[in-house]
Amino acid sequence: MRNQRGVFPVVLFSFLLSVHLTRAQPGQDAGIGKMTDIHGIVHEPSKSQKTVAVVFIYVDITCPIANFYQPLLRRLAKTYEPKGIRFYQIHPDPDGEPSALVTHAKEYEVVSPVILDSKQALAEKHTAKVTPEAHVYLPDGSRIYRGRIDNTYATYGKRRPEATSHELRDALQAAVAGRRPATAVTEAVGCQILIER
Amino acid sequence: MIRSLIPLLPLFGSLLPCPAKVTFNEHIAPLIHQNCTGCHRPGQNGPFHLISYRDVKKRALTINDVILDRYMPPWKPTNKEMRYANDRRLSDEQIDLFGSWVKEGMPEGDSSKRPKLPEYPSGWYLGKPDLVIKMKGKFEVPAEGRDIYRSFVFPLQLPEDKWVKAVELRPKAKSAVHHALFFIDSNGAARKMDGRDGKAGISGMGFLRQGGGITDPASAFGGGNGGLGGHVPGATPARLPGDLAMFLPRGSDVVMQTHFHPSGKKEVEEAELALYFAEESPKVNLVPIQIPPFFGATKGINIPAGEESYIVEDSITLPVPVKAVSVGGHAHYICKSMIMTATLPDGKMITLMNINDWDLDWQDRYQFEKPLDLPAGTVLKTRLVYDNSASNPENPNSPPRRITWGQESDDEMGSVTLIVVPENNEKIQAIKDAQRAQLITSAADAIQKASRSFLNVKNYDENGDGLIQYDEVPGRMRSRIFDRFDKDGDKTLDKIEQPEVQKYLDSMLRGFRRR
Repeated sequence: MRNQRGVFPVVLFSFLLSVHLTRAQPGQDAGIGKMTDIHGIVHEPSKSQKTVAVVFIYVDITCPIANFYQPLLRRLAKTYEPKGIRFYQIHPDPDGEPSALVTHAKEYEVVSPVILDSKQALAEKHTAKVTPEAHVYLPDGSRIYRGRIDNTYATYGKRRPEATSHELRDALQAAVAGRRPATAVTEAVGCQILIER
Repeated sequence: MIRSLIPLLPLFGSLLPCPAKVTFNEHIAPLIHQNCTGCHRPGQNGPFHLISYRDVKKRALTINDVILDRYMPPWKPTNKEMRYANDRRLSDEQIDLFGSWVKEGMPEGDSSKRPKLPEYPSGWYLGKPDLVIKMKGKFEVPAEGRDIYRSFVFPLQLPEDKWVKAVELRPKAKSAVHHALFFIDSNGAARKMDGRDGKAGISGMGFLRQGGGITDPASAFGGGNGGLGGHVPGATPARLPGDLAMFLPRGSDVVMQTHFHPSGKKEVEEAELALYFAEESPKVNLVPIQIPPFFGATKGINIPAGEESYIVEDSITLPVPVKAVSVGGHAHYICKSMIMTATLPDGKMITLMNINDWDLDWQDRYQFEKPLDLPAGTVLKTRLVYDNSASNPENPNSPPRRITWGQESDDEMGSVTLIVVPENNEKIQAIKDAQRAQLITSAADAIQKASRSFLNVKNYDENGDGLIQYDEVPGRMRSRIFDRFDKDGDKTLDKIEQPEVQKYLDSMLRGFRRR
């Protein structure tokens, strides 16, 4: 049974800080929309002329595979933000506490905006399945890649010493070059997201 | 008729299908609390908590996956007929029960039926230790990068001999420490090596190679004479049964070889080790029987790139009757399976341990539920299989390269160690003599094998182009051969250079034979 005292603040924060999505116009930023991060800053990346692509990375503060990737995600953000790629880390956690996400972002030195998707609206819209999982959209709302960050994890507990394929990086490179990536969909290995309805 | 069968119902309990409605409070909570919560709770190294209904519901799909493929709870042996005291396997029925709960939408059920959470000790698991020692220095584990192997010294140097019943480790870098093995250094060598690269500890697996005061490195894998066993996440610390204990000679230090997985954030390791002493020395000592000995150093392990099934086998015949206490294996990344069997003099064969998906991350000791009687004349046999192909995700090299025996994690080695107790200490010498005889036979085999592969220049030519490229020569031989014989410095040995190399290899072979 949940701690009743804990429920009210969670609900309140969820209400104040959860993802608010504008109804997408047909053909327009269907996959992107407007988001409010854990510091209350509103993001609407598709509205900016400079946006080349938007990356949603589904993560979780206690998923070890998602955490393992944080240093790489930081490097990718630092490399590709100046090239017009916008990174967002999405926590699809109904029990997520904004303060815990703030602490986590500090601990793992997250440089991208962090979004608490406590109603799982984004996760549902993107059909996100696991953490970590990357979804790359163009500003017109079309998805050009969904799946793993790279192939370090072959399955649970089977980790390559180094990745031999780098699908997210390749997708970002393709977006910057104005083309579609060679691989559009892969299966990510990680902690499964339970969409609660 | 039906009434007469009712008393038998409990016997068929485990064969019955899942209950009509599976709920968290009635069925799932006891399963999780008993098998998962030990590690998945605050202060432990399981990555998320699995205590409340919410905790478990949120992770239910992941739990279902990892228990189905038996990644969790971590337990590698697959031989079902052997009963181990520290067994953590779930039964097929338990796995089905969890699957049914997920399928039914994970109902919480009647809160009055929720069991009380088991009590976990807040301090040391085994109670107040006789001694707590702290590792020398602090080591910063980086946020990312390859796995790290590093040894740390726990300065001890007690004035008198001790017998150790149990050890318990408290790592600080909880997300990063994967496992640790405890060695005893009786001559202070580790203290001298500590911090040479400017950081606490000794880099790599090199401590073993450089010897230290360790007489038998195998011992750490089993707590035999000379080692103190290991630490694996999730394994419950336990005192050795009866009067059994591990010897800790006076004046020695404890050395912990730690395997770190960088976890995504920087962590600092500064571990504490609790020691529990026996009041008196045991009547009989624990004896490790390692097959093949020295982690296969004498087996000429030499695995060509691309080889999917490279087999290492060895065996020994017990000269005296023993009781087997526990079994465990050791190998590096590309080992895929290991098995140890005992064939008794009457022909009956027992599988002592069968791991068909070896994982360096989960090297544990498996303690037999009851010590097993193995009569004199019992043949202990091990077989290890290695996969050096590109399809093995754990291959440290991409593309694969030849892998030979060595102490670093990218090299390979392997053996299974059975910890036994003979009838009395006088019988130990007979076991040691048998091991020595086996070692000599094994070494002779290795020299023969080497003369066929290592010491024949033609065998280096893996791509069959008639030339020997730098990468085709085993690591340790490369500079030795290329510095002397690659006259034109093109990192390739051509048909003119190769006969000179062969003459050199022939002289090495003569040298081995003289030894």
